[in-house]
Amino acid sequence: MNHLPVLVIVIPLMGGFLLSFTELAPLPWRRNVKRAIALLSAFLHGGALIAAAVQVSSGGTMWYFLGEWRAPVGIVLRIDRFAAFFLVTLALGHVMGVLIRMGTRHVTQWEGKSAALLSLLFAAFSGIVVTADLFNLYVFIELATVTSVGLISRKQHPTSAVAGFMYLLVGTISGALLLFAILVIYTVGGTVTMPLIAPAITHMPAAMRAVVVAAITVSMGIKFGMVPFHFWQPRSYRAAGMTAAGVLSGFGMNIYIYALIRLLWEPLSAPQTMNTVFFILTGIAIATIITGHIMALWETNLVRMLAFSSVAHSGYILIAISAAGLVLHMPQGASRATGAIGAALFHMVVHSIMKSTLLWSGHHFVFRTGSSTMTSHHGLGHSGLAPAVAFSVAALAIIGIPPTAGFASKWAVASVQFHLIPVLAIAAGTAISLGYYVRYFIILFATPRENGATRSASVGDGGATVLLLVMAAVLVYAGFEEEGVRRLLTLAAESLIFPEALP
Amino acid sequence: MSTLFPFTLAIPQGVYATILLVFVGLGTLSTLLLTRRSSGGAGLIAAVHCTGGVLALLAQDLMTLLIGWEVLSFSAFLLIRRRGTRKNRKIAYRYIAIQVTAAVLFFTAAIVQWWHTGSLMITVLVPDAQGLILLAVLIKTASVPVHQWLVHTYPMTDPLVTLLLSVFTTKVGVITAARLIEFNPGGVPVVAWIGGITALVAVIYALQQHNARRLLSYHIVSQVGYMIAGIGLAAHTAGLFHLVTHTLYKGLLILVAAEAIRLNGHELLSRMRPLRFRHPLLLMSAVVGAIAISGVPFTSGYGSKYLLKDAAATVPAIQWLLLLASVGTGLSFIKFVFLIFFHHPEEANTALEQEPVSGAEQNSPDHLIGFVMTVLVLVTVLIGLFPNRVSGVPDLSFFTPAALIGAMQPLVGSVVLWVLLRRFLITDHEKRSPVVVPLRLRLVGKMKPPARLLHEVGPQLQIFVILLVFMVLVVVLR
Repeated sequence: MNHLPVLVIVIPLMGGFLLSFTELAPLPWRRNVKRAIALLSAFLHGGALIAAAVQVSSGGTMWYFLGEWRAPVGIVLRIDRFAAFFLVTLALGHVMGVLIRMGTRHVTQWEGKSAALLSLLFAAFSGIVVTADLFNLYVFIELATVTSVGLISRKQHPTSAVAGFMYLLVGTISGALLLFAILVIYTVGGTVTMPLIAPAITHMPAAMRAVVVAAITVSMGIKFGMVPFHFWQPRSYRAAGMTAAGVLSGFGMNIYIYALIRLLWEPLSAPQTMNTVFFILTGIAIATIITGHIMALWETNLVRMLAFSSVAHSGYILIAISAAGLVLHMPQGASRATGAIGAALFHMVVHSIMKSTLLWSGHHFVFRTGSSTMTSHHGLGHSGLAPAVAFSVAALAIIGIPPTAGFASKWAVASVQFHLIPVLAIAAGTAISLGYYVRYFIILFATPRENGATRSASVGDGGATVLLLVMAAVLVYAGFEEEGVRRLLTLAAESLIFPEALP
Repeated sequence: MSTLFPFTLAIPQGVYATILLVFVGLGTLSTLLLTRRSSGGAGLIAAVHCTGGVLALLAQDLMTLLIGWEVLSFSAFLLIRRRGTRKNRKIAYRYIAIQVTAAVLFFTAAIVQWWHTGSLMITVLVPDAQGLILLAVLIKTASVPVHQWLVHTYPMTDPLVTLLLSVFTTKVGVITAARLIEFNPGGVPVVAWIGGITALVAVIYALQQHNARRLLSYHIVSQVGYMIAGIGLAAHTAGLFHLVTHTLYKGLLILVAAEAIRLNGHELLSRMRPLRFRHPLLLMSAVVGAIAISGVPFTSGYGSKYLLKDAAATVPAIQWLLLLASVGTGLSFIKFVFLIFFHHPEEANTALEQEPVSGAEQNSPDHLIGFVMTVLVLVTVLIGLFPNRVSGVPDLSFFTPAALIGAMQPLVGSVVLWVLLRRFLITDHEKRSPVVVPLRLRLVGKMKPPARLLHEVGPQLQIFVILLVFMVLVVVLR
């Protein structure tokens, strides 16, 4: 039996476990031990994820029955092509997240429990993606919430304690709603194994289905920052610091959106049975795009601005997903739905790279001045040219300037729509986001002030800069490879729309 | 090859080939001037700017055209921002915001075209996309009433940057219009009307200007209005030929203004010390540029205006609009030449007039600019003498007596008006033109708007919102 599906959870779990013991190591070694374990955990995990994805893409869906207990009793893990896509992004996220921390010569980076928490967070994310068991999904989401709270409130500062508490509160509500939905499904369907639920709950009363769909939508909406549940996001990202925020925003957001898609499509068959929810989601997505961008325009703090931009971009992804749900009843519905899901996946991966590049390169300037207020970064672009270039390229991409990947993914999301209003929202978002990114660019490259008291560049970023420049180059290059990427993503989307039965 | 960015390019034929020559030639010359004059990468950005213009001209698919637009916008943004003053930063910010708004409209139009045809090749767009692309082009060409960005931006940059900007941005907008737009709802040539009105209104504004480059900027708006009028009347050759001639003589006039600014140290026309005949080349360039833009026979402007007038014959009202605009243009440029070369400012209010700065540096003619001006004068006159030898221009007889007399009419009007209104026109009334500032985005706001306060809410309210939305969703979904 191929053990990869469980290994992708166990490896980072073990890594986190070991990392939490490193506090016991003697002080002179502590940092190096931490680094070694974190690096090992990240690369092993990344390798396992990529190996699983490669095997799935050539050999078809991979099933794993924990302890050989078959469904509906045992826990089932499953990696299909759709999940494989998210595993690849997680591999990127984990490896790059650790590399960025290695490359940043920032003293506080390796203090405390953040390395352990990061490893656990990726274990939870991998679990969310590979599990085919509803209750197991709930457990992993809770694990992700708890570790996120740890990351958010890690810095010994009153605001981070508040932010962590707020996230814990909304996360608990989200968990409670999800648990409630799972309970209802279980009472009606008699199982929590996802592939078995759909046929079992065909006779579920419409009112009950509405409650379940609403609970799941709200629960996951809270997690990825859908308007009006996004209040926690700017506060938390600011408290978490740029490196952790890059992981949470760039890679965490995708995972919760994955959970939403998976739950709406597979156990609930929402596109067939409850089309209205996608109309509502379209409306919410438009509101999310506009609100996120406008709030970012008002922001004076770099991290909060980027957090609001994440809110807006979750709207772009959501708008493609809801198009996928709506086109099913139109001519060539299945193939158009596949295209729409593919577009959503494309924007997800591009957004991951763009947002993490922005946050991680922005970290350079925040570190230099000790403040994330934008005006304090006056003229810093001249001294830290490489991070500034990475930031500018990523900003051009996230605004959606051709021929970057950001434009290509935005185009993909817009072209799968079938009505002008969502497209106009996307277009308006582009214009507004230009406003705040160019503003920061102007501040960054303003004539430097004479009395600027900044920390010297020598303790700034080391190898991290190289990685950032590579990521920026990928953002430009991926735009030209748009067709190939989308073909791959369509394959991934197909396995969501036409799920395989349990063996 | 990617389907989204196929980068299909083709060397253009006909009048487009002439435009390519103008773009490359004038682009190279102005890049050369900028490279020599300023340090720190301006030349490189200028070269990128030229590339954007040429890319937009050669593009055979919408995405390549859009990339051309964006390259132009962002390189122009960098050039405008280079001066580094607070005001320039603001203007650059506003400039890029407006240009990207146009690009975003273009994007939406392209999406609509893609839905309907599944292709992104350049052709006249489907009717559903026409409104969007028309808006985009109107912004790009600075047509009235969205012309403010141009007259705010161009006078605020380095004079040589003004030269470069005037060659590409609006012209690429005109080319886009010629290739993508066909908008005649109910048989009314809406585009031509907008062009005609722009031509006239901008001239009226231009007559009130006393700042050299502001005056020229309004004339860019006006002349682009001529081109748009030509394209709206389906006379693409006329509109595009006017683009060619206008780009050349406007380049000449901007160089004259740049030299006048350099020699005077400021650009307030009514307070310039008269240069008289001390700079014969400058005087000749100014005169040739002025008579060309006024459409005097045997200069390039005559040929293109002849074609435009011919095209407008079907819609007399638009012909009248253009005729009136011509009268105003002539009047405005008599004033321009007169104020720079022959007008004595009243000594009483010489507050702005500066002491002549140490002679050598100030008054020595700039040989490279002299060379560029000579080239432009020659080309302007040659095109004027042999308009039908220009690639893409129909082989008509341009110089029939009737046509010559027709062309002289607005000029006579200009001269008569000049004699009558001269005193009024050259007096600086210090009036602010009623320009609306379209975008007042503060660089960094200090206020806390209501929406911002909303995001500071505590946990109780958040939980309330979550539960409320949950219940609303349940009710709606049932």
